[in-house]
Amino acid sequence: MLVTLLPLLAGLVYAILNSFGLTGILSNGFTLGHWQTFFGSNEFGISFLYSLGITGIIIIISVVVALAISINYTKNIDKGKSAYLFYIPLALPYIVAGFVTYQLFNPTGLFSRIAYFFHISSSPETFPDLTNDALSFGIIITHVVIASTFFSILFAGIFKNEKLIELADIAKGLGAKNSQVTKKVIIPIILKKAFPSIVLYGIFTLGSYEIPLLLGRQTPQFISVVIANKFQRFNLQDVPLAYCMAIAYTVLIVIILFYLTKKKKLYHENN
Amino acid sequence: MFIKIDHISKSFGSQQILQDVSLQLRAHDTLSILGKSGCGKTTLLKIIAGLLQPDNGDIIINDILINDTIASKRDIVYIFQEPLLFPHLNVFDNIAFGLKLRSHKVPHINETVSEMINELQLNGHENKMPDQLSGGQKQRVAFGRAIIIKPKLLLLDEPFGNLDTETRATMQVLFKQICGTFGITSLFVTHDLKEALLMGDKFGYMEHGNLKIFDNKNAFINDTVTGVQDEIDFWKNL
Amino acid sequence: MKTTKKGLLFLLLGSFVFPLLFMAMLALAVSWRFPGIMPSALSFDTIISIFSKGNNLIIGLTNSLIIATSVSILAVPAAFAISRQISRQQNKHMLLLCAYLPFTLSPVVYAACLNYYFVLGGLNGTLIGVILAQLIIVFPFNIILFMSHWNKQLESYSDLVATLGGNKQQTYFKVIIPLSGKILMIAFFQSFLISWFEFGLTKFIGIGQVQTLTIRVYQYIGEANVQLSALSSLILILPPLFLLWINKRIIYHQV
Repeated sequence: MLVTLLPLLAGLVYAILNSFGLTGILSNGFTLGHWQTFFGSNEFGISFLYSLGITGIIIIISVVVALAISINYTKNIDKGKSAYLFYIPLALPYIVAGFVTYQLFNPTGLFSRIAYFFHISSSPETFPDLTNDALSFGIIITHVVIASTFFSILFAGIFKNEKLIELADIAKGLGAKNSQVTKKVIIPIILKKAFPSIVLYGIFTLGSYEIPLLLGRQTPQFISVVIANKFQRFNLQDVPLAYCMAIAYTVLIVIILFYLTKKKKLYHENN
Repeated sequence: MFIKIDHISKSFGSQQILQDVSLQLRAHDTLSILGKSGCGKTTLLKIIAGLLQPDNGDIIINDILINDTIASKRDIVYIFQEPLLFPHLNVFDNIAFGLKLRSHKVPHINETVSEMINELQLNGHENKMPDQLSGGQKQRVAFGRAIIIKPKLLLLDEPFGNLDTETRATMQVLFKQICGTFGITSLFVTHDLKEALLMGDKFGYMEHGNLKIFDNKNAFINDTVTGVQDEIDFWKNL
Repeated sequence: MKTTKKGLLFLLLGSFVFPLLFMAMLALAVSWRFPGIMPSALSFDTIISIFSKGNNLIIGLTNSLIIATSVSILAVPAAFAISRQISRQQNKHMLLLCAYLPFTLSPVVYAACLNYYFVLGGLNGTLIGVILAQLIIVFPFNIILFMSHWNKQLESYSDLVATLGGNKQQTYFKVIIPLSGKILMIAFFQSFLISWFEFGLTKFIGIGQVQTLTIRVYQYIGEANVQLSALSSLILILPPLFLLWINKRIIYHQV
């Protein structure tokens, strides 16, 4: 486990030292200045809350869509040629998915052209902003397509493994209507079983980089983008601040993970 | 005396699993140990096999102390309740497994395995994979795989536990016969009273980590703890 | 009702296939000005040009192949052996939690924290540096993957081999590895894909000098070279599509 933990600890130790001005190119000895700047500005807070909010929206939409897909198309996801097509979005790396979304939704993209063709818009400018936009539509749609495919496959697997068809039959035998079976049996079981995977997926989305990098706005930005930008900027004063942010992010994630593992065991779904 | 187990104890944490267990067994004999699940039978067998270390006590075979001998050097084979056939090997290769580990020559392996297959009445199944066999056939292969390397001691942990009544009866007869043919010394652990009586030359009863050894079959039958008397009364009063 | 359901399914599946066709079109389109719905001219010239000597895309492809193969070959066997030891520890849940940390911290944030050590070791901007950086993610991924593989039955098998006279090596090579063939294959392909898809860590540690396919895609996008972006994206998704064709579960696991 050293192989995993050692780099992590080493990285954190350096980050902490740097954030207190003890190492680094511009270091002048111990200082609380960087942390004062960090707490004095709400850049991290806004970015973290923004990332968290967008992640929440992505996960909620994806879970709802995936529930609808997996309940209606369990067999199609599991077997036959259509099953292969269901996996295609998972074969797209984030950077490619971001690129495709951009080419489809930008003001001169394919959908804008189609809108123009049908006289819905009169020029690229009259087509709504859907990439690098204020509502983060581009980020949300790209993540939702990939996440809802992932969740659909996950839920379809649970549907099969937990013998949900048999349980639904039992519920019907007890007098439940179709809608009651879905609401009171199928959805609660799927969500309970899938909870650890949904949370982990949410954490991955929170830390995602490529999609917000390609499709996000200048402000606010996703937390990974903010931190990466601070490191790669020419202003070396920003580096210790970036370390402060990296530490704060790490601490927040560890707290979330710890809280979740205490409540429920996070096991990797392998079957 | 061939096998001597002397004052073995074992605890897991605060839970005492075995308490001062001792037994002795002559070569070519089978000791039946009757006990309910959780009485410590499996732990005892695993300690004898070298898969677990005892907290106290000695294991002696032919006057040699083997406490520190690793499992693979003990020549004691453990047969589990599950046949645990290697799913990637066919019947022939499963039985030949131990001989191949010992780098025996191919003609010798072929000859010995064929004899064993004959003895186990598995002719015609040599090339079948484990998933093509019935429960009884699988357990026969597991026996063959164990016996072919001529172990000093065979440890059987509820070997017929997963079989239906009829197959179980057939297997009991076959096992007795094979033990005779190959001169096997074994410890046979079961929770089935009838099976314990059928399989053993000597008898023991295990409860809460304590093992009681009986001098003869009658002593085993007459002791109330073994439940034999209850069984007899049940059938009498029917 | 049934027709609507079927219609929706076709629409759904169509939306999955559509991006691939759209990218192919973008890769072939020489001229595709607004407001044209279809390109005015198609050409294979760009595809042919990438095969010319010293082409950046081919260099990116080669680097990606070298990195992904090395990462999988190094991470899988090590994680296989180590995860077995972990599965026997009493505090394995805590150790498993540690294995989750490198992923759950965004790889980019993780790379940022480690950057100093890579600079110190002279590994920044080198192929070995990128391989090492990716191992830090791929190795724990494999630990998590293998942890659910080690169960009571496998332990019983290895006990059985020991009592049949097999030593540790024999147990490993004659029983444990053959019984783990499927999960090892999945682990290898998934590790390959994680590395193949990796962007953030590679961008950080490779500092633009280690050109992988994902880095190339990003650069082409930055240069607004739509044709090459699309073409390199298509090359990037060929291995996952191929693996999907072999076994669809492989793709699912690595997400």
